[in-house]
Amino acid sequence: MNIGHLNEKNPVSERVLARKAGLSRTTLRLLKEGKLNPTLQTLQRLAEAEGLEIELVRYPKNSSIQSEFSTAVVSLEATKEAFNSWKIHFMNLVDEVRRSYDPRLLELPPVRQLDEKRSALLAAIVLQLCDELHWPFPKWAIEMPRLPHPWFLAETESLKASAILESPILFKSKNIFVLENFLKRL
Amino acid sequence: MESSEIKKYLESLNSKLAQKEIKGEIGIVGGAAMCLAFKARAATKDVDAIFEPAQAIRQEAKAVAQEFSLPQDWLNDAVKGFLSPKIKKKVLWQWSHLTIWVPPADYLLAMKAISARWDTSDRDDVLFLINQLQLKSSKEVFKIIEDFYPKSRIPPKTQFFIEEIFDQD
Repeated sequence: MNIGHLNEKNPVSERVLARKAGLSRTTLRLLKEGKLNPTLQTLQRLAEAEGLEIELVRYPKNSSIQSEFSTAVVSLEATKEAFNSWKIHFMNLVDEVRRSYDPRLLELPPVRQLDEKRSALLAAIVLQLCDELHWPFPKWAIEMPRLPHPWFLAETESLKASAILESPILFKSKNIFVLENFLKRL
Repeated sequence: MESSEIKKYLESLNSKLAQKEIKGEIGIVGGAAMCLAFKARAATKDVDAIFEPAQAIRQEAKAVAQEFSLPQDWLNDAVKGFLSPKIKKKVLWQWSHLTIWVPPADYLLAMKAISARWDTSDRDDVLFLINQLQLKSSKEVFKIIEDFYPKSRIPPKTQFFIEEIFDQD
């Protein structure tokens, strides 16, 4: 394992990093050069010394999962574009979940930069997908706050009544109202 | 996939068909058509299409997927059961062994009006197409839809949606 790039973005001196992580400079150098394999505990200490967190994500070898369509990544992509870009990015997530049948796509919460409305929507979508596929609900999605004001996605006055009737309970729980074919892809 | 990338993959598909001396055609619909033909979107996740000969194109599409590290179903015909037999073809690209066509704007409008997914991208696409076709009333929109689908297939929500667009103007 090569951790040489670990402190590229926030460089501190090797001496300081080694001290903070409780390692000798020699050990740190060998780790960075890929000549030693760190234990998980060592990785944790190095990450903390850099002000980082470590998240372990398990993928089988040769996994066909497209992680660029995970909740964290699609939420990040949505923050870079106009508000309505969620219609593309979140539906990409829906398609990939149904194609790969892999719950790991839904494990991580949306990025913190994503606004309240789209975060709640993403949570509702994830809950609905989990319900559809009989998967356990991710904690982040359950805990995502309900919107303070109702959001009717169709933005059409004459369709509000239909959305109130048709919206699945998991969307209503976030104060979001959709039509029954919202997650229908064909 | 952006427009330029889709074109690159389809050109590769043409080359592979040429190697096997097979000629075919691909009719692109959905988001990819909005992206390629109308520049209504910057990108699309995959290409919904109908194609002939289906088996040969499916096989060579898998080879393209491998060449460019794309998902196996980057080109898929899941939509084939939903298309009207009255669909017209507007040729986008004509290569040695592959013709790429898209339906005209009026057919795309009709397709999206029938699928009635008013919470998502179809809503924006329909608004775009109404503008593109310079339609001035709900009557004109319904006439187009009924050119391709029987009136009984138009969902009530589509009627509400279309009428509200023009009531707001």
